[in-house]
Amino acid sequence: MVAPSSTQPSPADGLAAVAALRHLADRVEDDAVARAVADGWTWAQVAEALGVTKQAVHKKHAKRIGEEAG
Amino acid sequence: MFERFTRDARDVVTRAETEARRGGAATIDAEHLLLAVAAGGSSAAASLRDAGLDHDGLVAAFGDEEAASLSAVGVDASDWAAVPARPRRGHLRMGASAKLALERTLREAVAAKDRRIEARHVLLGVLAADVGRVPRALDQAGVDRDALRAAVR
Repeated sequence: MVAPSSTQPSPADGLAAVAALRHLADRVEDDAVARAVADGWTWAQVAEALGVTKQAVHKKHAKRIGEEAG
Repeated sequence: MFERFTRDARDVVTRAETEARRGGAATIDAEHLLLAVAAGGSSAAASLRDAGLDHDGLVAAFGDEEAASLSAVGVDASDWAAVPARPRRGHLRMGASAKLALERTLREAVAAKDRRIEARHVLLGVLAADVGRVPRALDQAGVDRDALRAAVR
């Protein structure tokens, strides 16, 4: 995703875009992880799909999803 | 620090966590402090309403800012609107923007020589930011931030 230089965002817009993308990424991650687990994915599979460790994904999501499921 | 907060100011901080959680956020951010002020009954909330900024208006303004910022890099926010917010459980921590806002809140109270920290100072602390989501959303919504700060003071 490389912006052509003629339409490259200003630094301010670039930074704001990063902040907005991270916000969106968090929302998509929370939802996708919850749905993957509900579909029967293991934590190891979710972690590998995200490119992070199983410990990281478990720490971030397990408590919330456990409570949603239970 | 919170022991010097008035009841209204403490309510803002408490309500900010609710706002953050409802939005599915991982941390309490400056925008949640602003939404929390608007949702309350303090004179600071009245100042916001006088400037045409009620809670729902601010929610819309933040949504518009996010959409505009995403569109700058080719992401259409409406493509992702169906992804629901998943509220996190447990205590949410203050994020960087909220911590900055609260530092500035303290500075506002000190500058005004007020011994107690009111909701008004929290609002001024949030409005003191020149960069970030809050000033961008307010600028985009056509708010004169300097005039608003003067009115709140």
